[in-house]
Amino acid sequence: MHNLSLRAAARFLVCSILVCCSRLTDVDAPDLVTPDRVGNAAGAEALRVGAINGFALVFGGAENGQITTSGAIADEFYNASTAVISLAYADIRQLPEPSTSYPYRNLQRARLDIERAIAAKQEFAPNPSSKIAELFALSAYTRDFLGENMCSGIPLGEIVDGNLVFGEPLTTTQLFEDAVANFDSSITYGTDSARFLNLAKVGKGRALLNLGRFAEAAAAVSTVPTSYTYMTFHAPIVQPNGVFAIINNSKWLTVADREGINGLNFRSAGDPRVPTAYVGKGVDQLVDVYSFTRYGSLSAPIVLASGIEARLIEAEALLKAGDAAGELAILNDLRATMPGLAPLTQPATLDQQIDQLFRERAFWMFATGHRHGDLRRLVRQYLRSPEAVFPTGPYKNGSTYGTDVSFPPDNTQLGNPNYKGCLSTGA
Amino acid sequence: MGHATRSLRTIVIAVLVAHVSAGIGFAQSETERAESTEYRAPRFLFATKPGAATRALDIEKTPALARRIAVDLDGATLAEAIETISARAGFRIGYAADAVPAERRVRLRAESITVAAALTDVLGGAGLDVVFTSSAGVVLVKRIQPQTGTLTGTVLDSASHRPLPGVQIRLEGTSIRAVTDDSGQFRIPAVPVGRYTLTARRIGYSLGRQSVTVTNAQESRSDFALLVVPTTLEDVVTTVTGAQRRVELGNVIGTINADSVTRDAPITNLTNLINARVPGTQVILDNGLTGSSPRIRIRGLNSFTVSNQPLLVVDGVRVENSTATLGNGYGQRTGRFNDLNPEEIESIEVVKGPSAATLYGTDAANGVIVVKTKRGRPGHTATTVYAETGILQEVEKFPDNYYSWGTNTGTGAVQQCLLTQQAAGVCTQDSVTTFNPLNNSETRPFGTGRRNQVGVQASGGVDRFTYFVSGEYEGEVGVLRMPGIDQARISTERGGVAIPEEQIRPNALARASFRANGGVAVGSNADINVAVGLVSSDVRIVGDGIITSGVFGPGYRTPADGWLSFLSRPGEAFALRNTESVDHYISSVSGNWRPASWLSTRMTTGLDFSSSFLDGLQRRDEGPLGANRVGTRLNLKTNVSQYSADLGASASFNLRPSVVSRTSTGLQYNRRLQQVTSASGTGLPPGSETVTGAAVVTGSEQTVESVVAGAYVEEALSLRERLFLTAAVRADGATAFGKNFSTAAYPKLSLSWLTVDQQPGFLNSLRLRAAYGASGVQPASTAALPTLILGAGIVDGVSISGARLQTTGNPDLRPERQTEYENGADIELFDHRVRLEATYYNRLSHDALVDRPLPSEFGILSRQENIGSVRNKGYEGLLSLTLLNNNQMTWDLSFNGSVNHNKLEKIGAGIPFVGVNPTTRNVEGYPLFSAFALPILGYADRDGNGILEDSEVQIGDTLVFIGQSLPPRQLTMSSSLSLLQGRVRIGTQFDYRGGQVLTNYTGINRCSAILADCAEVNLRTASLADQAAAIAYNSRTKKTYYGYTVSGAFTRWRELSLTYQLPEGLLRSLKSTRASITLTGRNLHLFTKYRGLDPETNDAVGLSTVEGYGGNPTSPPVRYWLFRINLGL
Repeated sequence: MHNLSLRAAARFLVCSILVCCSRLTDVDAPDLVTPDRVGNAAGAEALRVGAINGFALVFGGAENGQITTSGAIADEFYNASTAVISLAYADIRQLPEPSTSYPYRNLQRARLDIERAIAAKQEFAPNPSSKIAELFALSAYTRDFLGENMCSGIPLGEIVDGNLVFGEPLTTTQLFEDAVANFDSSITYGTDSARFLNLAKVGKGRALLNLGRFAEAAAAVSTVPTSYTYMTFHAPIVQPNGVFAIINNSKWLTVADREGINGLNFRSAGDPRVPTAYVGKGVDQLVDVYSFTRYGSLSAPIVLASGIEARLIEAEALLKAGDAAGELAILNDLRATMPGLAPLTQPATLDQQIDQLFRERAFWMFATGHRHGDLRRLVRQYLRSPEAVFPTGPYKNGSTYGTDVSFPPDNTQLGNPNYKGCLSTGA
Repeated sequence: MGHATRSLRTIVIAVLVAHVSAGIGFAQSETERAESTEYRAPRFLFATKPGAATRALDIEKTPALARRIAVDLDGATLAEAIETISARAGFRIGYAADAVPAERRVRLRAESITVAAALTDVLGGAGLDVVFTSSAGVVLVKRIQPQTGTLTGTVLDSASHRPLPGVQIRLEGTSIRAVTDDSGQFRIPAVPVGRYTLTARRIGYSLGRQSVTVTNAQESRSDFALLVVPTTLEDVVTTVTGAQRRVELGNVIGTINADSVTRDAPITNLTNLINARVPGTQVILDNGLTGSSPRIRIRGLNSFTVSNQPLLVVDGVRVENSTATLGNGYGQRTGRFNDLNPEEIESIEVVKGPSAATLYGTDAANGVIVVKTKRGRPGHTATTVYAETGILQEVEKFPDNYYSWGTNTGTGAVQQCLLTQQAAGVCTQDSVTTFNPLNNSETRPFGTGRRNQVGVQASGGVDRFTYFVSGEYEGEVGVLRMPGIDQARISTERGGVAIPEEQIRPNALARASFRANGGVAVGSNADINVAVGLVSSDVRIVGDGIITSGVFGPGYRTPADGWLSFLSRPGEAFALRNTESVDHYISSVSGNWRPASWLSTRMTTGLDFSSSFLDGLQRRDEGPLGANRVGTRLNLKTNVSQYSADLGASASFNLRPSVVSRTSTGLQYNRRLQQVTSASGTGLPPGSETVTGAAVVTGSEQTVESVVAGAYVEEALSLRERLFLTAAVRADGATAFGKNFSTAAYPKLSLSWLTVDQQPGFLNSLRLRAAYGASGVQPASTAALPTLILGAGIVDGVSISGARLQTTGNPDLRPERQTEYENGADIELFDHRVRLEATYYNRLSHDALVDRPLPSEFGILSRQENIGSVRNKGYEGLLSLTLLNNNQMTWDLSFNGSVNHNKLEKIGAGIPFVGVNPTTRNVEGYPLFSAFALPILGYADRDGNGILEDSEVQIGDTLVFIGQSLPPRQLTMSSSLSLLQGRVRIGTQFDYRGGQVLTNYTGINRCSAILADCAEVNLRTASLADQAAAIAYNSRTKKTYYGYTVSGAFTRWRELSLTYQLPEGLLRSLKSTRASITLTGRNLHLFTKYRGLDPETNDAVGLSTVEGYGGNPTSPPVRYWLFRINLGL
């Protein structure tokens, strides 16, 4: 009897466990959304929104944003922090051993997010095609930014079905050419939207300018009206304007003025294109912090491309072609649109004309991520010395500016067997 | 997952069929019943003469009894029946008239019955035996009642002469056992007369053994005085398959007798209880703040991606052991580890690695800390009351900050004039000021901390029911204190409003704990135990960033009082509220059922539930200047539930008289569910302290669930109680495995050979042992899956929800698998005065989970892959010496130490290294989390100006290995001196850790171009070596941390205790059975050459899986002075 009851109990236990076993290791994961769940039109739209969000986050980001970082290594922003943050190293042009990604990783991430969104839109929601055009243009911009920021030799990887496909090192020129190709794709898809078509045209003009193909650049932007703007939108928390945040909230950066001998007088010029306001001492209790008041809140939009940029591209092409008068006319036409700006006069020398053109670019496109690329172009295309255009000389606290003009990728990039380090760290 | 489930199902079937088919041996219970009826029948005995010793006769070999006769006794008296049988049998049966109930009527009718059977029938129940004698024929004698006596005694601690409760008393060779009560006494009635060996066993004490003679109706007394020893082979330890003697295990298990440690030593939390008490086990402190939680590392580091934290098991139930970041500053983490109240713990066993932890399954590879809470013992209710009070002191001397003043040689302007600028002729230095607000009496943000604790415990029971209840309140205020000048300033700013105490003393702990444990015996073969513990605590940790602000200050008293900035002064920093409120509930129900003498079954189920509420607040217009002055609020609620179920059975058989087999099987199920919800608000209305009404409110939630289910089979053989062999295998399925991976199987083998056992003289015992086992660590719960992150995006000015790729996933992900073998010896010498335990281990982590950093070109930080291999090998030793042992004085000295060699053998193709921080990397061929830097090859002040310049420091071009982060060497010395017959006890402990390097980030940042407040960039008197370190760090071409990555070796005088046992006269007036007062000190002195802040802290903020930090400015461990009184009522 005893044996029987024991065996019966054991059999019951076996059966109970077998019934339960199939669910033993099943768990709920309500937070997890796997890629297979977005394989439809709505999913493609969600990926598009996510991609645009990611682009705006890196373009208008705070410490590792495209605008703040490129502006710090250039003469737009000056470091007011005490913390040993990456922006401080960018500002002093002494980039530490590459343990910090700066905007590099986030630009790459934005690029891949955009490419995934393009693929999804093409498969599940191809119309209107202008939405695809916008994505192609933003993808091209990530390439252009990488070319403007980084040293030569950057790879562009891909993730295909979960597998990592390592990219081959691309020179700075190749990156800009890749950007042009993507802008062309955008133009192909953007025929049903002037807004996105013009975005692609201005972007293409910018990339061509980076390549030194001035005439082609001017041709690319020729049909863009001067009043055109394409902006990234921002809002607190989800997509904040990081430039506002890092100046007004954190007080880590200030609008610079004559930074490092060569810097422009962005504040003291009193130029209406760069309105500033004093917001107090920086975190270091040393530097006076001035904000860029066009970015008046975390929700302030940021101009990515504009008709003004198109005209400036045309002006530079004219100057490059020897038509200084034509160039000056464009500059003054633009200035005439802004109350408080007097017409410019023609400088005597070409170098002065170039300086004047780049100063106009700097003021018109202040805090939009153009200045670092322009300084590098001055070195690369106009053969200026880096120490004649970048901030240099004594820094605060008795330190001295370094000599870096581009950012190296962080060390993780060494995990790509094709990557051999920077091919060139020059402009 | 499906494959895993199928495999698991197969194992389950096998295990349970084994249980059922093992249903043999019930004949033994029939035998037992026969033995009980035999007692009422007459015995047939032989004696040389009446009254002499008897022996049993073999009836079949005794012709007189085997003879068959015919009888017809229907209603005859017993006297007539005896007469009849006597006549038919042919021998006379005599008896005394008063011994036999002669008139009792009997009935027996048989044609052919043996004499023995006939006598048995008629004499049955008469209480008579039939005795054949050489001289007097056959006589009937009254059954002699068993002669018994009583054994009593007292067991004392030989050093303190304090009574020892809970000592297992056993009569060897019998099943007779007892347990001492709270006064250390035992009493065993009805012990059959004879000579016995009596043993006394208790964890943490040597085995007591005495010969004792029990005489009829007498009380025999045996008193024991047990020596304190760290472990003994006879101790019983907790294993997955039930309690086992240590001697039966081929692996070493560290044991802490918590009950006795907490009574005398300065133990304020579980961290203090474990730290430095088990060889090979390291406790790494994040900082010295009240309420912070440590990380535990056993036998080195095994992984550089997933946690190296061991499992925590309390009363058979897996308990949450994670850490969480809290507050601002470096290394500020609370955690669930210290939720356990040390006063409620009876013992802690540290299961060190896969060779021992195989049956704990996946997750156990980093070891298991097995906690057993206190239990009641039968006897009168014993009540203990204790109270503790004390102070905390900040004793760190923080480094001076420097500012060199000078004038610009060109302009004459006043400027900071660093050494390098002087050398370059930029400026002329005229003075150097020093100031660090952490050291200045007016600005110093420290005060005397306070600690109070009061508790009461009661335990007792009757034969079938035992209980233990405990309640305690503990309050501690840390050393951080807003300085008076800041209090005045802040109060003025707020219009004279009083500053809340939580801002004046921003670091504090309040904790109440309650525990009730009960046990019930159900019948003679089952028992049920219920354990319930509840801890409720509030911890405030805030403002440790003030240490950073102090050591990074400018070197003179600025308007911001010399702090780094206005916004990081104590008045502002301490105005932030960071509080964690925790309710932690640990419960278990366990049962043991022994349905047959050869079979025992066991079951444990339990729930560990912890609810943490993180309460962050910066009130409007308070706290650090900046955007958050609009008021911010964070509510973060984390609930973690861990469900444990354990079902097992063991069957024991004597395969041969000297060979015992024990087969165990079981199933285990663990489910962990973590649910996190958070709400935060920015822009609080005036006076508001809640999210409600905030200008911007955000929220999020997260659910993480994981399950491990496993089954095991173990076979253990014992040969002559000297040789013990064990083989086992466990198989697991888990949710975290990738879809392409099925079941994980872990084997185990163990051998223990007791070559010398309890011999007197020089060599008392010698045991040799060896063990091999495997275990695992499962990946992060969602690491195998590609996932998207959801969130809103602003497109064309409109907020729309979107999705971005968050993780790439890895379908091939499987558990990190670790195999380990260990061998060693346990030796006792000189009448147990010297004990040595030595162990060598070698562990290989295969398929190590590497959080493989993905090149930035993929945008995703990393993904987990099984591509690494890590080896740990080393030695552990425990030496305890009884140097003196007499009535007046006892002196025990013990050393425990370990040496660990750690090596990353494989990191995965295409990964040159995994970087952690600028100096720390995981590189193939080197220990995990090693420091590398470009070396400083030399320096010379060639121009003789007393200042080193860039060109005078030579820096190498290739990174060199400097050292590892986890101390590979550890040695603890403990001494216990007992005086005046144990009335006074003095204990102390020193703890050494060496071989590791630390990067002094405090020094680095102070000497950086950005801060420049250290001596070596300001002072001409700074040594050239120090200047070279700073020059090399600030080098524009070859920046290196070399000069700041230095030895972190230290020795800490960790504990001192003085205990006085109150005299009996005083006890009577206190109506107490025993009482003691104890004065203790903790963290009394630090011996080190390290020049940063405390080298014992590890300040990786929120990075529970990352080692190699340390050296950042964080609060060092504080000094405690505690006074405690224990009263037994």
